[in-house]
Amino acid sequence: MHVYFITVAVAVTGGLLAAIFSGKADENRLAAGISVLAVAVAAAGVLQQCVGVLFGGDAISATVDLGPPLGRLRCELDALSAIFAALTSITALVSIIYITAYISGMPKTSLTMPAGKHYMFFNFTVASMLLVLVLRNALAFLVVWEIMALCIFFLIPFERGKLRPMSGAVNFLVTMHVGAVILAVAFVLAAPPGADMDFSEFSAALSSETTSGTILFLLFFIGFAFKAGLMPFHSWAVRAETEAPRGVSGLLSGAAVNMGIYGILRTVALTGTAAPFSGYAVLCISMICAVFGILYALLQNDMRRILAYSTIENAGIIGIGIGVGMLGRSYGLPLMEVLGLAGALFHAINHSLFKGVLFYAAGAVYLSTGTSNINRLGGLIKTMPITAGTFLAASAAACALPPFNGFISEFLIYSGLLKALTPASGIIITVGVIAVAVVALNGAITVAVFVKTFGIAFLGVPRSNLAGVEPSPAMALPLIILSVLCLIAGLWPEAVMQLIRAPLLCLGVTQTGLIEESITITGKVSRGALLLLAVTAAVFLVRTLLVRTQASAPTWGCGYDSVTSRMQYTGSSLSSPFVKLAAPLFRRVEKRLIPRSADVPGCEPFPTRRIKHASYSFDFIEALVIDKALVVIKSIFERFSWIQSGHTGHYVLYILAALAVFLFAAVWRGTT
Amino acid sequence: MSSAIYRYILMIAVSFLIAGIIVRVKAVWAGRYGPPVIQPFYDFIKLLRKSSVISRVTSPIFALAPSAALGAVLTAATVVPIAGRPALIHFNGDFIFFAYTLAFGKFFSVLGALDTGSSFEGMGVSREITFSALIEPAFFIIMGSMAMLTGHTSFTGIYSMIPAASHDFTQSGFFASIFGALRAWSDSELLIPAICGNIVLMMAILVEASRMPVDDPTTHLELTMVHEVMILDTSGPDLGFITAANTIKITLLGTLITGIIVPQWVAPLAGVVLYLFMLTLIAVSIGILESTIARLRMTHVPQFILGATSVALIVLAVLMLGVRK
Repeated sequence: MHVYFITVAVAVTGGLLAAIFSGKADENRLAAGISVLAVAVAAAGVLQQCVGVLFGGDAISATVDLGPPLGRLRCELDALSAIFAALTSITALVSIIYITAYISGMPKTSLTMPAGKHYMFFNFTVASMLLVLVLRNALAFLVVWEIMALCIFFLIPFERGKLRPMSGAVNFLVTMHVGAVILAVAFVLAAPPGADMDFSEFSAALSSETTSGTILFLLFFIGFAFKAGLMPFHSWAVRAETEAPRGVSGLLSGAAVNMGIYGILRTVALTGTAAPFSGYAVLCISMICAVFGILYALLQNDMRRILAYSTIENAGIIGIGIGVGMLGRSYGLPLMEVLGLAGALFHAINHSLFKGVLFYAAGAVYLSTGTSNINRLGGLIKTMPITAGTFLAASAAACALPPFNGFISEFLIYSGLLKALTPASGIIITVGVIAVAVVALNGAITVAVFVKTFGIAFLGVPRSNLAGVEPSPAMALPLIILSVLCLIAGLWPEAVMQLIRAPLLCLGVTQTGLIEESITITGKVSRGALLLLAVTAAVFLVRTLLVRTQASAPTWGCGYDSVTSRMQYTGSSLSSPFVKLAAPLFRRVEKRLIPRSADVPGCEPFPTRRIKHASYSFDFIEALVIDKALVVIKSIFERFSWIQSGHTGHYVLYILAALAVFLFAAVWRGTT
Repeated sequence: MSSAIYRYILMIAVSFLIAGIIVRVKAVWAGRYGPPVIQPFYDFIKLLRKSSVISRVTSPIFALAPSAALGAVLTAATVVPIAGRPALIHFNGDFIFFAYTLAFGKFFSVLGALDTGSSFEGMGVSREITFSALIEPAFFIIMGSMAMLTGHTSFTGIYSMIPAASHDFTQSGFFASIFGALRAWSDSELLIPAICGNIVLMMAILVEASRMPVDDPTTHLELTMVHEVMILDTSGPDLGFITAANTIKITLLGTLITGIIVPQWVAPLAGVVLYLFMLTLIAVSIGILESTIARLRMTHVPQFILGATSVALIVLAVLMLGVRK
């Protein structure tokens, strides 16, 4: 455990040093070097510890006495923490390498703060994430949880003079606080009287199959769902991931969301067997999240927003896996339980891998073209072949297409749902089939989303004069490594399953034989994926042998010979049929900025002036659940606005009054 | 194993005939003589030997797309049980593998179309991704419900329970096994799910292969707006591959339909004969369907597809009632 603490300390020290050494341009490079080195050392240390825990070793634990008020803190690196710590450290290392390359490619004057301070907050974020994963004391957990949110808050606004990143950051901070408050309430309610606030004390309250146990579980779930970006608590994920610098988006999507997932899984581990209602709630929220997340992604034309909504969708899929696991446990279907939880863990790993590639490739596009609006891009595959190739591989993984890794994890979740066959209750079977259909619909829309993103941005002819340039090797390397990992994990899933074997045991899976069975299941289907790869390669080989003479010509314009690049389908027009179908599910506003030609005399029959047409889509769930709720809350609290008088004297009085109340309460509790 | 390979080859070979039969039926219906039934095969061979013209705009994705489409259907075909016998490969959940492998092919063929930068092909892509996204849930509800009803999650497993598991006529004579199958159907609990499943799969063929009433495959450009429009720039072997992939896809889904009808335990010869008979019937009905009905307006196609989903939901209802009982 000491090694683990030292690695966290290294990350923090590296951040501080980076902040000290930042200033002039050449010193920025030094700061970057220190920061990368610190994160690399920390990652190496954490990985060494995690490998020990994941492969055969027992959980490492230590108790630290910090004195009052925190007291003795239990820290434990068990397999569940280890898998997420390993993921976090790898994601962090890749993002910091990427961020340094990204910053060096930007004009220094455009940064909101010296680059060194940016590195400092990055290192602090990583350190706090690593700490959160091992803390087993609720109070300390909440404190570090908040520090993590604060550090990320400072990472989001990046380019000077841009307002939207700032509003995204504020939204993030507010949302995280609401989540933390719910968690705090949940911790207090779950703690038995006179407790040390150690996690192990909560399982009694959580595991009771009464209404209070269910409510408690759902409180924890909602608290962590804020971090995981599950709908309807997702507004931060869209804003922050869209506006944050690209490397940070990768960290947010690959690691911060995972913190929420970790929290939910930790709750599941503490709960043991939950009431079926909890499982249904998790499953239903996640299904809504998955379908609406990907549907909103289809509406977007900004690469970053598409990816941010796709993150929400993937959080939903992980949630479906967790829900399947919980229902399997509640109904006594151990194979369903194992498959669901394994699918959730597997998908969390996959998501970190492929979403990293997608964010970094989108960042490379933005850095070289200055836009991430796909409607202004096109044909980038010719100037950026590496970026395009890796983006394609990661897209296929995100669409859960064989032979990539996303397919294996979704296959596990499907298999889990199909094991919902029990004579005990008809509801679970029906829910199982409906969930299968929902995941299928979700998969099909995902294909549409990534066909749109990749096809419009990278294929065809450029839609504007923005030309892409291949990124520097430091930025290209993470892309290649991560996408190769996606393919390896898809073709050889047994290796990943070995990684998640210990975490599954940690989550309360008792039958190791079933884990072996699920490993066999993934093995069989990945051989099928290998067959697909082989057959496609063979067909392609036959094709290269058959094609002897190959003439090149312009694309056939169907008899029309003055085709321009603006006649190509755009992202908006590509998704338009689906968007029209799904129109009741979101709010859409269309604006004609210049009135119709009929309304303006002199414009007919052909308009001489440019006519601008714009359409906007709004997030229905956010508008319905969050915004409406905020209006109500605001109207309630405005009635108490007289408390905020603005006089210092009044505030001192409030403090005194509060102290007095607590004192009396303490004395009163002491006497009874 | 070797007999499974023969069946696999039989299915691939028959798929060209299926396309020929459809064309022939339409010709006869219209009062023409029509090309020979084997014509699609001649076309395929001819296309393989032709040189190709490739758009200057395209990238390697365009060259890869037809091979990926054909590779995907050939791989997907390995898990489909043919003529009442187990498939070449079968494992738990292979129907999910089947659907996602087909999605792999679609992903690439759609990207290949976008790669040309043609506005027509963009239009085809836009519709293809919409329609195929809508039909997906119906297929999964049917197969998921069948899996729950039979307790198996592979095609081979599911079909081995149809119409009932308790019979074995593999050693009986040709007619005895067919009559046995008919008798077994008469009191099978799977009758309603099987009928609904076949309706959904039939509609899935029309959507996936872009046949009438979803799309009219015989007219180029002006009226054909989904599948044919995506291959405007494809030529030579690539065009052959894409066309073959499309016909094999029809045959695959058709084979799934015959699988629901032909029991797995009939005598081998009876199975093959029944299989070929059913496939011909499907091809003839597609031909008659295309001759008698008009193409739907594009805006009405989603309603047609959602109709398939509602039929699938009937199976789900059967499943719920069956469990409660």
